[in-house]
Amino acid sequence: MGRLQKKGGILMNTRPFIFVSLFLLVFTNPVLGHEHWLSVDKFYPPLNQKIEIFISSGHYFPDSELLLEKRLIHDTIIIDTKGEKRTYEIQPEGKRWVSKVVFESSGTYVLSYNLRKPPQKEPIYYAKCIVLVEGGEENISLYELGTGLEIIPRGKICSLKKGDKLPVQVILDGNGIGISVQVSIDGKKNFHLRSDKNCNLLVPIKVQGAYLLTCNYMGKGASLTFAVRGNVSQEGK
Amino acid sequence: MRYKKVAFGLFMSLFILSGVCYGHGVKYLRLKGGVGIEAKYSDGMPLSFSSAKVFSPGNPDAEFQTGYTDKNGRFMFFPDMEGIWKVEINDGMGHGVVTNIDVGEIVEVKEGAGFTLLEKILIGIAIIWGITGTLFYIAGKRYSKE
Repeated sequence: MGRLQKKGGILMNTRPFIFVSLFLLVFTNPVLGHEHWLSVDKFYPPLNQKIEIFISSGHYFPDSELLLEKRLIHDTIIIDTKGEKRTYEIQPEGKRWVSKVVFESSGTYVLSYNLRKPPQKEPIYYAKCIVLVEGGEENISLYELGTGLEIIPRGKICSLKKGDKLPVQVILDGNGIGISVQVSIDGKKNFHLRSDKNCNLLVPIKVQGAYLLTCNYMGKGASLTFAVRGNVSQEGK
Repeated sequence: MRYKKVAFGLFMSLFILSGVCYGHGVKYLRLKGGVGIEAKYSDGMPLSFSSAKVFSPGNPDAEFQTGYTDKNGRFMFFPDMEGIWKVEINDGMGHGVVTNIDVGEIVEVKEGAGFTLLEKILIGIAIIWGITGTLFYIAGKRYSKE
């Protein structure tokens, strides 16, 4: 009897260990990969003001932990309010790449880049950032680029406030996919969301600040950065 | 006579120019063996087309070789001395491997790893000879006891 109790005791002691091991096994894998994102010093800049674009990487948004190799960064593009594209040049600055640009129209701008390992032609990571220049209308039709893996807001961002929910869809080459999305708000609030059977998900707006949404699917990754306006600083890093 | 001179001049110029061109020629050798590394992420995906650096034991401060892994995350190099060689693989996105390879050991293993057909036949015969010899020895001892 005493022996059985002893055995039971051993089992009772090992149970937390098994649970912790399983927990670590399940949750460490998605955490291992670095995320890559685009951000700006002002997500809602005034017209004609010089702003800085940052290409950052690491585990701790909004702080960049590593400088990506230049040869991997491709298609650094700004889509302006009319849907026209232009490129932006980047320079290394510490552990991130920086570009300085001026937005000459009011309204929606979409910034993007992708990561590709030459000679491979297919990108392995797609990053996107939404900037809304003051005085213009938000045009959500610009948010879908239509290629690769991308996270697309299906609602307006500029009017979001605490308690709202932003509809988001993840698509791969134009087709919706069921996927888990990681959300980080200013690096302080981090949580996961799972899309429904129609490949849609709702991002709860918990606080004002910079939002980073990331996902990984079939060896590819994608990120989306935007800010919810408010009294709290919207400035990125 | 004139044609002969022209032909001779043409022949000489071709002879000289071909000599010059020969300086740009390339010879090649097909190599066997070498030392390789294969780098993978924790999920099994290869570190394909990632930068690779090799440092020799003779000069650990300067790269002996640089390049990129192939699509399977593999990188090969041909050491020119025995010792501990350092290999760095970096995917440029925050993941990488730094490892030391004892080339003396690896070269020995690689060179001795494959057997020719003749060697295989000889090894096979030797094994059969050894087993049957042992069996006959045991049987012979039993027979002599009886």
